[in-house]
Amino acid sequence: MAQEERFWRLLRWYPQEWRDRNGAALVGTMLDDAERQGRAGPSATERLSTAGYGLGTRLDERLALRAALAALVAAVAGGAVMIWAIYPLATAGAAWVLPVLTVALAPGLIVLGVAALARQRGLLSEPRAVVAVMLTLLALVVAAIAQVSWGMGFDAADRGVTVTGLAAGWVWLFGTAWALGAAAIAVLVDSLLYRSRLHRAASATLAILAGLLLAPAIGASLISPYAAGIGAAGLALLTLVPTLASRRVSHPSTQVRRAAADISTRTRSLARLLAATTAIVSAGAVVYALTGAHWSGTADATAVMGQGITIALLSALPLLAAIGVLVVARGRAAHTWGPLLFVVLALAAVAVAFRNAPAWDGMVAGFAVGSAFGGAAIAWWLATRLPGSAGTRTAIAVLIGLGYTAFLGILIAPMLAFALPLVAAAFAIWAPRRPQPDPESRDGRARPPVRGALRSTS
Amino acid sequence: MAQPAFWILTALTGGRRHGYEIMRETAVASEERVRLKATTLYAALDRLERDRLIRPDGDEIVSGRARRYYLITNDGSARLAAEVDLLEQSTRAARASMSTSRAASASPRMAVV
Repeated sequence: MAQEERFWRLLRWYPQEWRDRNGAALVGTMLDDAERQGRAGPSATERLSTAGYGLGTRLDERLALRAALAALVAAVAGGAVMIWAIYPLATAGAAWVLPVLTVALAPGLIVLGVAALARQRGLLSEPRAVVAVMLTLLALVVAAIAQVSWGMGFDAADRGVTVTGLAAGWVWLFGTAWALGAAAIAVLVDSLLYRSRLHRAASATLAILAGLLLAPAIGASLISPYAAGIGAAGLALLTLVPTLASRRVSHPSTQVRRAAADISTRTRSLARLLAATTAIVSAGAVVYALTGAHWSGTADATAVMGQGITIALLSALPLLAAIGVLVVARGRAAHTWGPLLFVVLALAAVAVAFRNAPAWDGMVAGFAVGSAFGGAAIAWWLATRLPGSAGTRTAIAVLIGLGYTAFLGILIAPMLAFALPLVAAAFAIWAPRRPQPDPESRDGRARPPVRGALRSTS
Repeated sequence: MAQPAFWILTALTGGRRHGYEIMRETAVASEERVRLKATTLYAALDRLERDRLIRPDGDEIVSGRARRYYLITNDGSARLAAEVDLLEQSTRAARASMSTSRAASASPRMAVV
């Protein structure tokens, strides 16, 4: 019994639920094997293997969801720090907070979640998932320290002081992060290539090359805190993917959704007219923004640009109405006009902000309010449309909306203003079209070949 | 198909087996070239069961030790047959290529002046 106890103790690496289901059978097999080899307890290889498989089994979809939610929280905090607290923190000697949040914590949680999903879906073996996560976490911690070191070195150079201590170790830190990151990526790529039947040497070479090239690229992308926000949102949505297929049948929204063909011609015409209105007005606004200073009598090009962007953003209102009309016509009466109203309020806030252009201090309040309304619109829209349980999809939607708010996501609106004429024109032309019936499925019979086709083949 | 999955399905084509039997049969059939560890075996069994290529067929206590038996499913048999076809095709191609290269190296070489 003492011998059996030693094997049971080893199984603590596995989650309780797995042990309850498979523990007795695994211990029985281990005891049989130990008996055949004349051992009284687990071998060193068995200990290592159990640790790898046990820890790897803990990387499941539940952990992926928790990691995604935690990564979103870290990213929201990172966004808030970047926009509102970066200078006070730097003054207080706490400039390290941002890299810790957006280079180490959020990306580390994202990697943990991605590895858990890949492991659960059979793309990564348990021990490889554990090794990849450990290497990546180490790489990210070193990368965050490297970023702090770079900042310290930069400040020292600015003051004309000799670079010493942590600031002097930047090259070594960068090299170590690169090596660890490359090793982690190599493990992941090698696992993915395992199914390709490539020769071992070829797949190992490709994996190492991928690691060496991708590690610095990914590391460089983490300099921008937006990468952590986008990655966290992507992982959160990815965790909902497996439930998509299972909920396609039962989701209430799909039951009431009508086919595009059921939308009346009058509704289509109205949506097309509204979108065309946006296309025409926003095109005029863009032309005014870019050239108005030459012919409008207002010499200040910046003021003209601000006015043009404001008009373009307000001209998006008919397009939003067109989207609402079509979505409602497809059976989405609830939770459509509410989020769209928030988008209107967000655009209005940006329009108000542009009255103080180009002074950032005068505009920032408008952008903050606009981002809050935009975040609320995103949260509302996603919470009522994502698959998954109500609690999960609401939590993910709210955190993505908060992320948008924290990163001042509405700052993209002025750039979108210039794309608006094309987007609205494309919507007017394509979106409300009646879909062509499938000739193969009509009445369950295939359409007979046309006479010309018969003649040409005879 | 991964090696553990291939050998597990191969062992189960012989009928109902428990974990340790699968390990031993794999070692014997592969002439000790493939030795599954118990942890690898149960991770692969978990995956194969999830993919419905095998199914559990009851737990028994034999000499005080728990043994879980498994059976291969129709999907599992089809998957193994497809894998074997692919391996045979690959082996034929490799043999043909090797015999061609052997014949080429054995034939007398003509010097071009």
